[in-house]
Amino acid sequence: MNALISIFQKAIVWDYYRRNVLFLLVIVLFSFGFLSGQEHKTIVTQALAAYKLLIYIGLLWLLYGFKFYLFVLRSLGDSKFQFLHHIRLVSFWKRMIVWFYVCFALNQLTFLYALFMVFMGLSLGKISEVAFILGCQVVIMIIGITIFEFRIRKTAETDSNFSLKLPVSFRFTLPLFLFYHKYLIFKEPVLFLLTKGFSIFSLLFFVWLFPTDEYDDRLFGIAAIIIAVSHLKICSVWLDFQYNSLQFYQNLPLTNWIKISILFLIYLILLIPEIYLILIKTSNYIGIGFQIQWVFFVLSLLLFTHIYQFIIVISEEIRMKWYFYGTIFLLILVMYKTPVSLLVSFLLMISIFLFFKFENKFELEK
Amino acid sequence: MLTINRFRKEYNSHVVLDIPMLRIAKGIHWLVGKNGSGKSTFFKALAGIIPFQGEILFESFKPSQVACKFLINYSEAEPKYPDFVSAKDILKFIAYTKKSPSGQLEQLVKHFGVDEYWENNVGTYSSGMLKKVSLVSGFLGKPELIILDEPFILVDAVSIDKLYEIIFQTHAQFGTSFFLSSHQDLLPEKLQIDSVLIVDNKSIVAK
Repeated sequence: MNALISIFQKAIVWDYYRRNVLFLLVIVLFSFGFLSGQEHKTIVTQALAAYKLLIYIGLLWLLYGFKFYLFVLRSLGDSKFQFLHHIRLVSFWKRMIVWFYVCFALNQLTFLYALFMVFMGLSLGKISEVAFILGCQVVIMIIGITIFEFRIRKTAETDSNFSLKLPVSFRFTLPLFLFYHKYLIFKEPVLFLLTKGFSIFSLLFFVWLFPTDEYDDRLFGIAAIIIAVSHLKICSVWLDFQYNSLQFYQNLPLTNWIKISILFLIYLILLIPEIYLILIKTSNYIGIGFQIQWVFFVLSLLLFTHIYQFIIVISEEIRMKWYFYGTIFLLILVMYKTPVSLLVSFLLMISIFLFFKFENKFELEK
Repeated sequence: MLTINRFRKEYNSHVVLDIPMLRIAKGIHWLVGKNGSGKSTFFKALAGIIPFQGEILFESFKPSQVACKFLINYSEAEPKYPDFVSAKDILKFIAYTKKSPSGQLEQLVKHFGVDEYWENNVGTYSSGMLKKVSLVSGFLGKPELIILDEPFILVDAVSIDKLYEIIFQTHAQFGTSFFLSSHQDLLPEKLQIDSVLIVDNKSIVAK
């Protein structure tokens, strides 16, 4: 049994945390960097007093559950992990233990917070709310166990990714700058939808807030930074995509300027919903000049986020710390009314400099 | 043709290759070495795909330079492409960037039989079909050096014959040099090798 758990831990659990280290780090940094312990306590107390808020939190946990369900499904469908299908040869109850372990280990991010809420609930005597919180966690695990068990009963090669079969007459040559969008839609749909959903709702929040708030157009600067940070995982997944599926790309005779232009185009297409929103929904409040500056601000932030990952002279941990402090610094600059055009120029210049210096020297760690 | 000076490549502080000095003339060269000896690492460094310490000069160009990437083509041992795009999408893009002469891509896909399936998504291909896509990409443009990493694995006997034929023709017609790595012995009646390079003990030496 230990050998069984050990192999699933190494093949799936560790792989999940290794691949999602950036995502988890950003979540933790933003949850505990922006909110103090007292604020967390206030949020939990509010949630324990209102079932509606508790249900939203439960749905958020379930959404995170879907993230790791899909990860395990993809791993089980990957030819590298076909050997894991030998688990079918062990008894049903042993499989259940393994699946429980996998779900439990992958669900730690929400489970630990749920535990904190449970202790708070017990101290406040909210027994039914505590039962609801524990129930949510149990349901998330049961859904995971059921999905994994159904998957393992199928053949190893069953494809867990959906695909769209178009008639031959509708097919066209897909340009390289659309490869990544197709990859996100077909291979990382949860990441794609979560990112875009979060990014669009953040922007909408600021759009709705705008006419009544005293912060004027600086609010949109903050929205741009939040949009860029929410795309962090998409930027980092591109590196995996490029170095695992597009190795030939580095052998192509493309100048650095063309490569930067391709990146710019990729992110411009990715930002179409946000650009549409800012152009349509804010036309009554802000001028076209600021709208264009805002679009370039988001694009330059994304370009910088992407290229920043190429810096190989510092460790991943330090890189993320700097990124976090850099984001806070940028927020302060925006709050102190630093002209957006100045920030765009600075970000573009530093991005281009880093790209020329590090792109050729970058290699994903083996 | 190729000058290597104090080349060093390491992964996680483990030295894979350490070549103080090496010069290789034009021709067809066969690299022989055990699994993990560093053949693919050397090829990838030469193709400008991975960074390294030291210096590689191909006709006075560094592998990272754009001009050099027109001159060196690389076909991977175990090619990986995004499985939701077609080989046609990928090869057309490579052909465009490598400034492939008109009609060259169509000729190559026909030669290797890739035209029979290249409109389908890569995810539906077998490993042999994928390997042939990679071989086609290796010949696109007007390269002066074509690196074929394990070209004879995964493909069927007919395709191996076709590969020998196109290597011979390309070398004879355009003077293109080749680096081949293979665990199988090459057939001397089908291809004349100019030199055998041994990759061993973290270095490369001519036999």
